Amino acid sequence: MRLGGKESTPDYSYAGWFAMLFAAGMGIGLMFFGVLEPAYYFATPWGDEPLGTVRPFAEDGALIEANVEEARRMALAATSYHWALHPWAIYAVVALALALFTYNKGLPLTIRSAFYPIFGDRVWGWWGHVIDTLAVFATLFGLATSLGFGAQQANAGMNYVYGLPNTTTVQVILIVAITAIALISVLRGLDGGVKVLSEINMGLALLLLLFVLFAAGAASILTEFGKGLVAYAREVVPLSTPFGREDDGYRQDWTAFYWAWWISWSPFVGMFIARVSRGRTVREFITCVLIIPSLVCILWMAVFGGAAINDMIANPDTSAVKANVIDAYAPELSLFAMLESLPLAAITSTIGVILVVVFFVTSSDSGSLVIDTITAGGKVDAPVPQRVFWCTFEGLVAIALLIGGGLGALQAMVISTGLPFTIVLLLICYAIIRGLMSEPR
Amino acid sequence: MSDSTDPQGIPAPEGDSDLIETDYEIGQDNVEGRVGPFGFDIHNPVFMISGLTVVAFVAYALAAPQQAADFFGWLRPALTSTFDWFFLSAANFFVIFCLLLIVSP
Repeated sequence: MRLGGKESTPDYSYAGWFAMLFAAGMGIGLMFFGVLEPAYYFATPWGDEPLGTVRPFAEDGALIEANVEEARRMALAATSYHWALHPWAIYAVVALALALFTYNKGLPLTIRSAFYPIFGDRVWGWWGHVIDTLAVFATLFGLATSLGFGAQQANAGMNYVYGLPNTTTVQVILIVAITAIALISVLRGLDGGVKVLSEINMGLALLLLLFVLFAAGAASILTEFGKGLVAYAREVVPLSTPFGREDDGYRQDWTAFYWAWWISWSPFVGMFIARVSRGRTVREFITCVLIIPSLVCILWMAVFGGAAINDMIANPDTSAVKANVIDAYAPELSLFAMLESLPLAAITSTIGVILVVVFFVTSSDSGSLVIDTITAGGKVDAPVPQRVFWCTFEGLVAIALLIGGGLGALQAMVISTGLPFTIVLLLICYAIIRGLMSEPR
Repeated sequence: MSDSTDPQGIPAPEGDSDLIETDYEIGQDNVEGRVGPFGFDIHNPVFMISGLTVVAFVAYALAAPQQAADFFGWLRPALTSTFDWFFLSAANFFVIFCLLLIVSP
């Protein structure tokens, strides 16, 4: 069964397609959490170790050799759990529903179309308005608050690496710059804008990945990747068991938080994935959205997290990663602290800052396309000034919240929308089955 | 795809298909117009409601930052710790659902 009818052909090559899947879905998260999360689980300072695993550092900060191996294995498994199959399954469900009802059933490209099998013609009335408005709301606030935080992170990184002042003015300038580049990309459309940016991003990210891989010792890190896969396979069931566990800190503050976060982003990412996936078969679509990004995420975590953990083991007293993640919790610096432990830190940190900025441009840009499509009632060719309007609006909301305060509050609100959306997603699964059953074979 | 020549911008399915019959026309609730050099074409209720709510929430967060921070700062952890079992189960369900779709015909 093919999305877009039996005889349709894919709109994008595999390389371009994967680049866009990643850049929209996770790029920025990988930059932020790639070092933070494995390093944090490895040496958690208080008792919220995943599944109650062992700790590699004693109270006085001395390394306990016997625990290192197990702590490292659990850190990789627990991180991979949040970045592999589960988030991509959430995105795949939303994307599949939208693609199916738009390309095969001829309904408009908006979230409400996925509810047609359940609500029938009522989706064109208030039911549909509510669903679409919620989606716009989550996407817009999700983007604006991440844009604000992203500017703060990029600024903190620049401060750490180059000594640039860490002020609101610099952050506002960063937001204006990110929005301006996103505007150019929006004006150029999907093929000339987001696709090109995603490919640049993927190229840079790959470069950074290879660099860290070789600088931190390719053989040991690749073994790490193998071990990470095995650990993930072994621990995914215990980690995802919802009942009868005692690691509240991990399960509630990390796992449930992540799920709420992925789910509140799913209308945006799912819609974007749907938009670029016409012409794929359903099986190919799910396999590619589920399996391959999962493998890449586990690899990324093994490389970045592995390098960070190596540094903590080698220099338990002087490690910058340990200082910035465990001793003082400064998450936005974790990536730069890890890069500092490797050679050529000045160059790689610059690439890091550029990647953070370009990933934000891609999100802002693809987000504007999605919001524009929903608010135009499912038209994908609404006038360009309208896209410009949403893109600018996002930037303005981010600046207003940055100056006036309230970024954290509204981001918490966005994540809270994860709960109602979970119910929405469960309904969507039912709609997909209905939709697929009625397809001609 | 925004350069598509199709009036709705979405190409029709190629080959056999099972279109859903509905009276709804894409863009029937839209308002088109021009303001100066800028044309617009918006789904009126969704555009207006979401635009205005966003402005309202930003105004609220700016006017009472402490109150907003307290409330939402409480709400999120409250939701994730009360409904952790629900999130975990639902996510597992989505994974299993997708894996079944891969192996089923």
